[in-house]
Amino acid sequence: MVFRALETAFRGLMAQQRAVDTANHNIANANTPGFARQRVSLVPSAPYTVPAFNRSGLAGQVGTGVLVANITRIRESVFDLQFRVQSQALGESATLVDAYSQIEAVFNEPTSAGLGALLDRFWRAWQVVSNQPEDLAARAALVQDATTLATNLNRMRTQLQELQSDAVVKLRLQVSEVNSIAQRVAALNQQIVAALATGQTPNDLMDQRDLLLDKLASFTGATLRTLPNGAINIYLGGYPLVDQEQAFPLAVNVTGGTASVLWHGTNSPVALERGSLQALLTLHNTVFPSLVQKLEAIRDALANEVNALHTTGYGLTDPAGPPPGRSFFVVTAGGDLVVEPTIVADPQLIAAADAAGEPGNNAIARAIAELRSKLVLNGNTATINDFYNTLVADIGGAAQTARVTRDNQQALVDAIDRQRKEIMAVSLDEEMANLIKYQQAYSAAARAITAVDQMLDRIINGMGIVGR
Amino acid sequence: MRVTHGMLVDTLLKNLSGNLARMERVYQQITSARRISRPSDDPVGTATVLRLSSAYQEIEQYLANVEQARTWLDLTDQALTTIGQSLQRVRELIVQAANDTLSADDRQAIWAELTALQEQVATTGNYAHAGQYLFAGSLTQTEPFDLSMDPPAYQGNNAPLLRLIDRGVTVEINVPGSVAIVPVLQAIKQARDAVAANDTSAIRSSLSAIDAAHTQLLSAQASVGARVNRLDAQRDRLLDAHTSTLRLLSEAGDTDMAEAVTRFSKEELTYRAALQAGARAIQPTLLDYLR
Repeated sequence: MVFRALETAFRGLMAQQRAVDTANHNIANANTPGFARQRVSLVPSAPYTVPAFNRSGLAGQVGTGVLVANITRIRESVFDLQFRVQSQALGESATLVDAYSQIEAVFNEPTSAGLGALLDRFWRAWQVVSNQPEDLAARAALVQDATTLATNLNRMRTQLQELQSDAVVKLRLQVSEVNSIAQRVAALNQQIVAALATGQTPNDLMDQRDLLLDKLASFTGATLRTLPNGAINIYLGGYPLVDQEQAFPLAVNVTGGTASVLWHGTNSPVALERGSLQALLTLHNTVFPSLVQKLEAIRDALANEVNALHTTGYGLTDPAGPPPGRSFFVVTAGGDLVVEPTIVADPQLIAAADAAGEPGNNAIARAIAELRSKLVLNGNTATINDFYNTLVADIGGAAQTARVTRDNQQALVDAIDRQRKEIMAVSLDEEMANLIKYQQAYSAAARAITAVDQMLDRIINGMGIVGR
Repeated sequence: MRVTHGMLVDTLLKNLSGNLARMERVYQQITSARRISRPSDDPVGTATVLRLSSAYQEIEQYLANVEQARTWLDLTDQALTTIGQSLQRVRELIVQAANDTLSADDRQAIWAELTALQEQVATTGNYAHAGQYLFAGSLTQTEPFDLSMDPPAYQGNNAPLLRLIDRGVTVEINVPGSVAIVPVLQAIKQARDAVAANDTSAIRSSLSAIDAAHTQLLSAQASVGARVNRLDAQRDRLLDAHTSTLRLLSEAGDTDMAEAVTRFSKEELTYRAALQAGARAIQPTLLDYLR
């Protein structure tokens, strides 16, 4: 019986040691992202039935010590699910916020250097010419202002197109990240299934996999399914991205200015639904083209309306007869707006007059200056300035919506993450207290062994030597 | 509720960065003196600012146009007044010349003065402002009166010079020489010829031509005066609009300094408090008390 007590104390020693190990593991991982604290489940080992003469039939049971049943991670999968659902919307709105702040930088409004101010300067320059049509300085200033306006319009258009192609670059990077995550999840699935099959609990592997799934959530609207064998399948629009140990990669395709995410090696588009990939597709396929189109509408309205009047006028040096039909603006093959090169070279050719040989005639210059208040855009309901102001306000509105959504979504994700951390995060105080608790128990078990040792000493060395 | 040190640090960092972001925004509003630094700060406000600053620019330009037109009309009025004074002197000389008792020599002297006056009227008609002849119609680069002819021939045209003083509103800033000055020159020429011919009845009848020319001159001057009045009224209106647009623009786009500074102090206070509380909250652990 005494030897059994030695075994009981030894079990206590081993179990407390394992608990100390786990506390140490928790402390070491206190700052590891995605780590869930682990707990040793201690259970009493099977009791030993002691036969006894003074009891009928049933014998008393004696405890045999403690066993480590398993080591579990403390984690609530409901919060993981909520965290991922909200992360999808967060990834989407955060991408939009980034893009819109870049768009806002392109438009650079409201400042005295924005396109709105440049349009105003352009119209004013025509009035200055109409005040002194014979003055070369006024004409040269008009050419300057028109060139500045055209250059900035072109710059904004080019920058928006660059942002559009940047979206594809980002899309490719993120798709390769999604592919990498899918592969790693598939590999982890394999390890986890194998470990579970042998009765082990691969806590740390499962934490790693959960962290990857958290990351994946901001990219796409993926749904998950946990299989009975412990593997997690990932689905996009009902098709598997990860099926147990196999990952199905995605690919980016750009055809005719439209980007799409396809299942690799096929022509079937992936139903992304949410996440930053979806936001990038929307930006590339809808938002940027529509902005470029609106700038081009302004460009065309400027060129067409100004030219329609300008071609009927005469410059200072034009001879009598039919008007020379000179354009003021030219739209190049590349879509850039430029001031007619001959006018840049010789501002006298600006057709301010509606009759030849009358230097004081400003009829055309006045008419062009009055284009500022002519309704020429949006189905002849808006002036060029109004159209532009509305465009800027629309961008501001969309940017504001994206920002508010992002902020709200961030708050939601933070709140869920906090709830999650209340359960799974490592508390150093708690681990220190546990460490002390288990250390004490370990010392006590060691002391118990000493007690048994002394008992054995008494029996072995102290008995049967009566009378000495 | 279970709170760990990591969560405390997370909360502290999140709040500090939120605090700094708000501080940065107010700081930007204070230092730039503008409430809106990008369209998403206030989309509607941005559109208002853009519209108002465009309107402001438009008004500024119309004001500049009005000032220029006003200068031109003032110069025109001065020139016409000078011509009127010359015409007055012409009339006096003719009344004097019509006196039967005058000798041929006296009339010769009057003729010489009339010739000088005719040249003076034509020279006044050749006034230019900033390189533009006032009385040449739209041929502003052509000298309107050719002094080598007698009477000086008018080389301009009758075209009006129009200036924009508001949306779709123009004002004519010139008086073509053919309207006001040519009749004067012709009347003086007629009188000079009569004086040269020593013909008192012709001299007397030239008086009516002088009076007719004077009437035309006066009506041109009256029309100039009416246009100046119109410009003054327009300038007052534009100045009112200028002031109110500027005020609206300031309301829509400028930072309310008192409010912004108060907000900044509040954010600053919160930030300091958060730093202090954070520094104390995240430091101690159970370890500090275990031995």
